[in-house]
Amino acid sequence: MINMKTLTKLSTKTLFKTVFLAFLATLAGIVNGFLGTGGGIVLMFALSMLPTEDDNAVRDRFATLIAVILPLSLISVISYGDSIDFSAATPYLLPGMLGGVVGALLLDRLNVKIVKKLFAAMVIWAGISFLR
Amino acid sequence: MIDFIVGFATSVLSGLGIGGGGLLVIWLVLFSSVEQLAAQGINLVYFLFSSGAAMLVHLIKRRFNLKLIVFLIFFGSIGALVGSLLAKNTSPELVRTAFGILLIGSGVMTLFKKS
Repeated sequence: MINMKTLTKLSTKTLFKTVFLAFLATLAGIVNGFLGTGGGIVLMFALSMLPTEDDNAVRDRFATLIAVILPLSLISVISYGDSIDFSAATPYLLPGMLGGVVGALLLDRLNVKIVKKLFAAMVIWAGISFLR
Repeated sequence: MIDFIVGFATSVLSGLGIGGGGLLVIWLVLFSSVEQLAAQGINLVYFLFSSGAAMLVHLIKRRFNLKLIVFLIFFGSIGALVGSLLAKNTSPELVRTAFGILLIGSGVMTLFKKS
């Protein structure tokens, strides 16, 4: 038996979730455009609210995140316009593509937990250097 | 050569979700004395190529929820426009500080996350 009260409660919850997801997606775009990176971590948080069925769902979520950030970055590149020096980017493009493929292939095989923690410490250190 | 190694390592790490996103910016700003906004621009272009290539692999191996992706892109695009306009109209020092805070925040989040 579904009574009206639980039904409204349920849909309010779904509505709230949808609005919150839209808000986080917008925020991800803002951060990504403003700082040239970082939209991914906001989206990661947004997607973590959605239910996951299995281990692979976590990897699917990661691929989803990239599928979303790619067009957002394209929009930001166009909007940055003149302030982008494409020739300065060229030396990184080929190794970047190679590394991207390697990373995507390794995603299945590695347990990245420990690397992740070590890395987080390094990123914090770098962040502090930026504050000077 | 060093550019090649940095470019490769950064995108392997970001392909694994270890947070390679800001790495190239860190490299450019702290070690190659590129200006903040210029570094961010380079990073965005770099991301299009490195993650574009990674995407080709994901397209074969992963499952996607197209409705969710379109939804997120729609709202994200609005944000992306706002964010890049903000970046162009804010003092580089402030952007740099915000970037530092982002790094510390995301580092702390990863460090203390249980899963």
